[in-house]
Amino acid sequence: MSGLAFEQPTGGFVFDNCRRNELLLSNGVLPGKIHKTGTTIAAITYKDGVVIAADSRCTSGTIIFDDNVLKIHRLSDNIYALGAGTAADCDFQTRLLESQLELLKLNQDRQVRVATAVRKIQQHLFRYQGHLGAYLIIVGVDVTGSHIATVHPHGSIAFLPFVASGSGGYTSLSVIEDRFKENMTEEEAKQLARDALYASTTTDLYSGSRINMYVLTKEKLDKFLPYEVVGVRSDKQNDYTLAKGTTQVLSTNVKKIEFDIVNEKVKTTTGTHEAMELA
Amino acid sequence: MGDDILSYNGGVALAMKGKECVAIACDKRYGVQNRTIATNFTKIFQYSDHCFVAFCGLATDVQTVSERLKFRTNLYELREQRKLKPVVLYNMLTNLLYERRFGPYFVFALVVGLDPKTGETYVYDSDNVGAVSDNVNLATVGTASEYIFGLGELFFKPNMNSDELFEATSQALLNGVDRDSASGWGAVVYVIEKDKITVRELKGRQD
Repeated sequence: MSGLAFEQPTGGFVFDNCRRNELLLSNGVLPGKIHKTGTTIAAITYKDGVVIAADSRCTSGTIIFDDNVLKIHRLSDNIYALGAGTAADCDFQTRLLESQLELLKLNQDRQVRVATAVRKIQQHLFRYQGHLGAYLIIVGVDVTGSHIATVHPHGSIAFLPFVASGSGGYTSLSVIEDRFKENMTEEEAKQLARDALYASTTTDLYSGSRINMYVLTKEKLDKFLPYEVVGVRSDKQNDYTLAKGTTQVLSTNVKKIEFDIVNEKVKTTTGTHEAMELA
Repeated sequence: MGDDILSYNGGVALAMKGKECVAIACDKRYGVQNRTIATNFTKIFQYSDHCFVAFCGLATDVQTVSERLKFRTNLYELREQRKLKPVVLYNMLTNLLYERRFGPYFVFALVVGLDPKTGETYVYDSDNVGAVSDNVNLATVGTASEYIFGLGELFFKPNMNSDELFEATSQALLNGVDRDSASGWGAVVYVIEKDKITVRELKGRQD
């Protein structure tokens, strides 16, 4: 696909900048920082289903770019994915998988299984030999029961009863390892997930702000957006409103936008008229 | 300045939300590392009546990506026979950037828009590979973004009217670029409302 004038997007990756970028890098220029999600994501199975939780911070280096990101991506009505690693890869790869699963569901006329989603994403990531930085946790409830799988960028997977991932993953995992037991109740599972996320949002600097949680069972999906706000903002001490005219302006140009008339209504008054008095 | 490719040409942009209005602002410097070549290089481009995008980073990619995006949006408008909505523009942009995930353009982008019927405001930012953000109150990209984030958080308050929004955006931008040698040399602020767009050139330090 040449980079010439008439460029029709054909789908898939395009490599026309690669040669130029290689040249820049060989001249000693450093590549720019890509947004990394730098995250904590965790999932726990309990008696009736699964509880999934994620923090909401998105960092680029040490700058917090976005304080309220949803890291829980829908793959199907019964399957969700949590994404850690490079933000763009998590977003696009889960979106791609979502559309593939929708087509599969329509084709096979059955609810999609977690194992199918995991196999598809694993084979896709393996093709790219780890260059797509998506550390995913695929979670869902299907005819065979509730499942949690962790997927690594090179394509390795593991089906586990509980898992935590991301930069704050180790912290969360230690909390879960301590208190996990089979067949917990929903309240116990939610509390454990909350405590695990709380531990990492307070210790890991790349995780923070809010704890978002979904509870997924065969019958329902409960969304808690957020379940808890860990990074509570204090109110501003002062009012910093700037008076009109603070900024010196060299020139102003006002462009009016033409309105399209969508609807026209003429209302006539129907009240009784007072007779005119002719004195 | 460093050897970072994103600060080779310098430049910064900021976007902020108000009540039924959005503001997008950028500086005007175009430089090559420490030399300033031009002081009229604005980084904001219009794609629809109420949709604007600012690109910051390598200047050649700012021009290429803005023109490539214009190509796609023009075709969209011809095919669909309707104007672009901010969310659609944002999705097109992130797709364009993610297509080149393994040979990326060196630009970070800000997309702002307004729905003229409902007054709903949209501010989105994107990194150079198309990482998707939510609709945020305040976003900034470029070499002075770290300084402007702090000022923006200070001056921003929810539901500002267009005058307050203009002042908050301008002061955050001007004071931020004063601390960054790679941006500055004047600024332009677009305040987008339902029925009009006000473009103001600001008086700033010329260094």
